Amino acid sequence: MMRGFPLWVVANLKMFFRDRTTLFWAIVFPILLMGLLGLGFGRAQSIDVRLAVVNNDNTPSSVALWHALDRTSPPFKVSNYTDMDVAKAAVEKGDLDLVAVIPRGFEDWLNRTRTNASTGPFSLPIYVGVSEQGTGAIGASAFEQVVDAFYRNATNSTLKLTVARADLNQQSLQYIDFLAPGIVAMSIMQNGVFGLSLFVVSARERKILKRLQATPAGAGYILAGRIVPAILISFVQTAVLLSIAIFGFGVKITGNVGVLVLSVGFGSLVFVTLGFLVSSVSKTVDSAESLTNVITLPMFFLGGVFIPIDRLPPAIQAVSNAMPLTYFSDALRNIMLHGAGLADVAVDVVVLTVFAFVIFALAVKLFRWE
Amino acid sequence: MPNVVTVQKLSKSYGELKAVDGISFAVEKGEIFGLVGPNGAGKTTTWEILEGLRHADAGVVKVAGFDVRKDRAKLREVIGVQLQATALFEKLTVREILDVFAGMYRKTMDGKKLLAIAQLEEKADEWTERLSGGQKQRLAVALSLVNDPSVVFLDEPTTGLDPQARRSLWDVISDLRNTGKTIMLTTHYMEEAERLCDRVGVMDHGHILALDAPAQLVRQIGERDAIEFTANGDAVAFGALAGVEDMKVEDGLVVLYTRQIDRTLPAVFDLARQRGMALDAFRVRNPSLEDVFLQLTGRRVRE
Repeated sequence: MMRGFPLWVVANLKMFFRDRTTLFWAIVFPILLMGLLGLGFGRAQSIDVRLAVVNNDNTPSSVALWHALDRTSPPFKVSNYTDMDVAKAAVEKGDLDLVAVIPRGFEDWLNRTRTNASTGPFSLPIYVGVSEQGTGAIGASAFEQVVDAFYRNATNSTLKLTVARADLNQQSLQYIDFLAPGIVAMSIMQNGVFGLSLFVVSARERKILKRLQATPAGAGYILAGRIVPAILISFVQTAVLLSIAIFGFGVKITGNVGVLVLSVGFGSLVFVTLGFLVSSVSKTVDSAESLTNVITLPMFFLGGVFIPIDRLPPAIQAVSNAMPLTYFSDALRNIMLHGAGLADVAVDVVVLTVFAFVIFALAVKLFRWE
Repeated sequence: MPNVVTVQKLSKSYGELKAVDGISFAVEKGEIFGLVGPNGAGKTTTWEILEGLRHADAGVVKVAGFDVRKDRAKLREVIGVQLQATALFEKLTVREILDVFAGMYRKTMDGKKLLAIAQLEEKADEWTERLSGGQKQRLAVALSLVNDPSVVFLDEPTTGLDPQARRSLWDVISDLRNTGKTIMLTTHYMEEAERLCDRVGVMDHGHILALDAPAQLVRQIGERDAIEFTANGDAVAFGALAGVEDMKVEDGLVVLYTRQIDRTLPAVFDLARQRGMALDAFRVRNPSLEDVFLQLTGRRVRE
């Protein structure tokens, strides 16, 4: 009986590639979407300079400097960090453009320099992300001007407050870099859920499933023969979409191919089992289609494909964190953009595996041949 | 000949409806056995229980030596199934579908032979969506043979086909007779049952009303001719005409049974003329299974 299984897998692959509609949604549509958004937003210069302030002084004066930075133009987008290493890592990852440190003793020194002209200079260290865009460099000079103005305001004397600049190599990440892994994840979700749910429900509606039931094959054989091709197709989707991202949009991919393949496989499995679950609870193709839309559309928008989760309101973030796509797009993004290894995406992979198991168990329980 | 199929007191209800109501029969090896009856008679339910696709409420069913309730897995290896109105994968070729199904069984029949049986050699590399209705049904029959089964279930294989396609499928089924396989066939075409089946069970409302060879069943209702017509007026008087032994009226169609055709026929015309009635769809024919069904149920089998 197992002799025939490869034939069944190959037959399902053939059905996929012979059906223009599924081919469009699985491969062409994501390419169009990536192309459209990539051309529209891809390499646009970001206006914000993302600055992190590590305020080690924590005095009214240091807070006043913080506010001065917050009010300046070009607009700094200021956030607080307590751990400098974390902030520096964020610069390197491209999540921040520069980090400024206000060392302990800043206010003391400021007070001393007001009364005692011979007080020595004070240095504010900044760590500037250096990238193609040069946002960090723009930020650094703006920072110096702000500090300059702040000091004059505070002391009415010649400048003794200096900026000690150190450069960090920053990955130059733009929207297209963010988008590409998300589109890959999204297209795998769509193909997995739609591919399996519509296949099973339409086969059931047209009694093909019942005909298969009359063979010795069994449900496991029939469904596995559909799940294996779906996973293989997800690799094809990944390869095609990433090629276009790399060669068409200059997206730079780091990270280990093995880890990527593994994560794509796990993610694909989750969405295929989700499609299986939809097919188990849907009576007609129409209701399967509606239910699939109800499940995939929120993930499409909130699963970290187009908008980073941390830019969403907290209530919405909670919703996002309940979605398998969020973990899948996060894993793919970390692998592709930040070279994450297996250990780095372990949480994502474990969460995805749990999703797959729970969904699969439920789907098997509810499965019907007719 | 040993019995390949035995059914004892088989019953199956769907809620209030008794789809199959305590039927029993046995089928010998190599027979073409048919169940005829209208839609809803219980034919499909019976077949699906015999195929192990549905659980019976009561009764014992053995097919090819296996209890259909206990030995489903083994049963499926040795039976072939063509379900009523099943579709096929549209985007696979005839050959690919045959291969996929063959791959699900331990024992298989040669693909070329199957294509020849189903007269589909020239269509082997066509996607099934491009096949005609008759070709699709022949493929469905071929699929029921991929595992070289000893018992083949065909559920209304010719329903919805034009007469020519129906005849070509009859040829396919007749040819199977020579292979020693036992063929289990349902139909609501009486002509099909008469032509193909060695024995026929007449089924209605979950019961088997009569079971015998088609010719034997016809003989049982007597060596009578049937006069058939529609009349635009009260038809009761026709029943009292000379030689008329029995009369059935169904949907305006009058059927008179007579052993004295030479007396009855002129009397029919005379009466019609006297009453000023026009007779339509007039024909005289030998009795058939259709008449057997009419005799047994008072109704015709509707298509």
